Amino acid sequence: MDFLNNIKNKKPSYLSNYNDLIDRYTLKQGGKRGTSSEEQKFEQGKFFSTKYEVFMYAIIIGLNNNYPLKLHDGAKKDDFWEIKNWQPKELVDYIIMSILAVSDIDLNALENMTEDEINFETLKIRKLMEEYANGGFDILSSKIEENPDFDNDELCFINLLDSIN
Amino acid sequence: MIITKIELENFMCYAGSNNIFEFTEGLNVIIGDTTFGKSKLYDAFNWVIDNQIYISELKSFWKTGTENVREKIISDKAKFEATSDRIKTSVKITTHHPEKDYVYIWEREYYANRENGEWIGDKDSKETIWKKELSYLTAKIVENDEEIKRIKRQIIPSEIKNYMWFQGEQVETMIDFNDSNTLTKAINILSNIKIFDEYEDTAIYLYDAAEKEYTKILKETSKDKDKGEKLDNEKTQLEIDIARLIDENKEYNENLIKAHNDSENLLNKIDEAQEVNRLQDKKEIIKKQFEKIDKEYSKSETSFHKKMFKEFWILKNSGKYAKLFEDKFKIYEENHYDVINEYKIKHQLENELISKLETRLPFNVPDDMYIEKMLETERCLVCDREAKKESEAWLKIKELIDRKQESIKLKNFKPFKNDLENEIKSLYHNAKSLELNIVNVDDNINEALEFRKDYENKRNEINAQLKKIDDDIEKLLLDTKLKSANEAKNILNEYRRKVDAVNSFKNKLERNKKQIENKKYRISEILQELNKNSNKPVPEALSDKVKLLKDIRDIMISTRERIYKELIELLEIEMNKHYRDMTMTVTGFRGVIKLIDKNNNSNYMPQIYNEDDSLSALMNTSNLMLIKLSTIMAIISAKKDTSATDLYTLISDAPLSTFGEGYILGFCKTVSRVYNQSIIMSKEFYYSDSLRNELLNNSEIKIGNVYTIKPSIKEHERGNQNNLSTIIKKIN
Amino acid sequence: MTKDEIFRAFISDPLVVEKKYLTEEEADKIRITEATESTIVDILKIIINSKQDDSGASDLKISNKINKYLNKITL
Repeated sequence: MDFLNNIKNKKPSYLSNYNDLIDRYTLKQGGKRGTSSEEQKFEQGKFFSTKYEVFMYAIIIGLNNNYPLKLHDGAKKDDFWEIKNWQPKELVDYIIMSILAVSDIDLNALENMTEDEINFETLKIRKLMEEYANGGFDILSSKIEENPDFDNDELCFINLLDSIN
Repeated sequence: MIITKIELENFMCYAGSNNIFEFTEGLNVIIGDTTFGKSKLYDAFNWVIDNQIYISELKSFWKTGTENVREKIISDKAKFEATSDRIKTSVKITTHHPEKDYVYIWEREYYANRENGEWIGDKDSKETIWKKELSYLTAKIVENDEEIKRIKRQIIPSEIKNYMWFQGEQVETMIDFNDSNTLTKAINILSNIKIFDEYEDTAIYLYDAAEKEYTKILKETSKDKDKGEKLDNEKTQLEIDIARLIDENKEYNENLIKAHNDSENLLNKIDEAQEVNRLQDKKEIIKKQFEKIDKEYSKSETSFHKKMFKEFWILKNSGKYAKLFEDKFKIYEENHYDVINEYKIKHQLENELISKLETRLPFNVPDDMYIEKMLETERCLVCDREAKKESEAWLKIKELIDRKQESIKLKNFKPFKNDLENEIKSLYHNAKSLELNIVNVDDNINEALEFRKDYENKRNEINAQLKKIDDDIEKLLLDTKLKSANEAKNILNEYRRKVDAVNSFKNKLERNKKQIENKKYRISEILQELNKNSNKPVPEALSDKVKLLKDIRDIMISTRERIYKELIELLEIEMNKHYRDMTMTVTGFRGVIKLIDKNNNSNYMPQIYNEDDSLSALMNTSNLMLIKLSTIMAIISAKKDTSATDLYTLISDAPLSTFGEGYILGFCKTVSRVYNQSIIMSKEFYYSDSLRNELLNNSEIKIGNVYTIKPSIKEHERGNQNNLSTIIKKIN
Repeated sequence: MTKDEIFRAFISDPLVVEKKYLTEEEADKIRITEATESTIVDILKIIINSKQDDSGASDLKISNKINKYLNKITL
């Protein structure tokens, strides 16, 4: 399982200016992992339990809208946790699969590449993932800008999955 | 006496000096809405007579000279507009005896002085009684104290004043049916029962004196002085004991009355308390239900978003990627197996050779050692023939070693550097397993939303039930005047305690009564013994006297009791007469009032009975006020010796406020019939034109003068009282 | 209340007839102003007259009057 592990060992980046957005919708974790509860999340008006959840959501938005957005080279970036730590694993695998599906990667060629070459390809995958996430963040942030009361509707995030640009 | 006029000058809201009400015989009415000045007019009457006014916030009367009153009774407008530094307030009541040709005027004045911009009232008011001949213009001041007292009594005697001049809100406490002393007090004040009390006391005194004389003689004529002394001492002690027991009984009786009143109060409340308890229990059940569903609802709300990830709602529209990947996967698989097949073919021939070899000899036969020796020695050990290097035989032998290499190679079947098939397959299978989830996401979301809505609805429904039952409990507490649901719980216990107390006191009283009887009997025994012990018979005259006075005592005690009972009966008849008259206009049987001595201690309380003599529940309803007023009227009208209702005026402020419309007219008819003159302040006629018309035109109401009063400034402008005066208008 | 009314209240008590001081007819008819032979009636009169007269006699005074009256009879 080298290839997947390789991918999963990566820590994708995102533009730092989306930190506010992420924080706004993510429950602040307690000191120990998983001490905050669903109740607290609801109470605080948050929709996501962890930051990587937001990231996954952003990737999917980006994918659904076919909107990969390159990250500015010079822009300030932050890293997420390694992908291998994300939950639920089935979802993570599906997302990776989706990225692979839309990428131009040659699966067969991969099978004969060296370790370095493989690493190079996985970096491309990571980059693609970041771009879709970036696109998703862009859509999300402009939706919020357009309508500040966006999150009054509880189904807002779910409904956003429907939007087709 | 009839009150013919009242004049108010600068008294409270009656600013100026032109505030005059004139009255005739019959029912006089002052009509005005709340705060228009009705109660102030009532206060004016009281102020003249008693030099005090009623302060409703403090629920009590206060004399003019006290801090709570003083210059506060002077009209603000008058104070504001005063041109001098001394201001006067006064009220004058004019009374007239129809057969006489003079009137009395009872005036009370009060002054205040302005010092440094502030008005300071005098220490007290001043009272003057005038006598004015009708044919003269001027009046003369009455100086004689005795005459003043007499005149005042003619206007209203102090002992019946409470029953003739009263405010609606005082009736409640004046006639408290939970206090079994209420009627006793009234009867004692109003009847001549006091006279018989005095006679009874006198008769007891006379008998005791005679009896003392008798025993003294017995003692003096006793044969056995010691025995006589002993018996006499015993008798004295018994008399002391009896006196003590009688005192004790007085106390027990008071406690009995109180405990009985308390228990009656509680009895009234028990049904209500039980109802409250029942509702409380129900509330607990509903509360538990609510907690349960609230929890489930909260859970459904809070877990809602987690489902985006847990149930893969996030993949709502991502099904296409699985398809995309599948396509890619198919291609990949094709290519992948192509490569494998090529690889396999490449290695096929080699494998054929190997398998051929294998069919001849098993793998490790012969051993490597021997094969190498054979190659070295260029000789086959099996057939013992020459096998020159590179000869066919020698090559065949070498094949055996090569075979090994090949099979090792076979084991390292590696068509690829990295076989990713498993990983990629896992991705594919993962997508496949999520396929159903993705297809059903919309349905799942809707279902989840519906569930949530269901919980929400159910929760709201139960919450509404909870609120309703809370309201019901609250309302019940208000209606029943229970202080809290806790009180309801305690009531049953309290009631039992009180009933126990009543029984305990009853028993104590009984026991004491028996003891008194026994002791009295013993005393009569002692007297007999002393008699026997005396060597000279007691003079017959003395014995006769003792017997006579004893009988007189008994007669007087019995008479007093009889008279009292008669008064009660009379009162009962009068009460029912008034009550019937006042409720006649209202359909439906209203019950009969009976006065009952519940504890056999001569304290009577009204009870309402139905036609069939069963106890009615009507005492708890709104005609309670009616019953109380009937009682007040009966107390006065039952007075036989002086016809108080003819001589004195009924003055009442807002007696009708708890009445339904049907009763108001009944009340007016009865009052105008029972009392020669009455003055009623009422707001009921203010609101209803039809009622007012009835009042003025009904032939069964003996109507006097009717006035309306109105403040000079509207309600919302009344922050500034400096302009407040009262507009008085006579409407008939 | 008048003296006669008070007198009548006592005389009409059932105990009077019960203890055989008067017959029923006598008890019904009698007034305070009437002269009688009955001692108990006389004593009642003394008591009533004493109490109802202007200032109302004290019990001591009444006792004194009654004794004087009774002494007169026995003599």
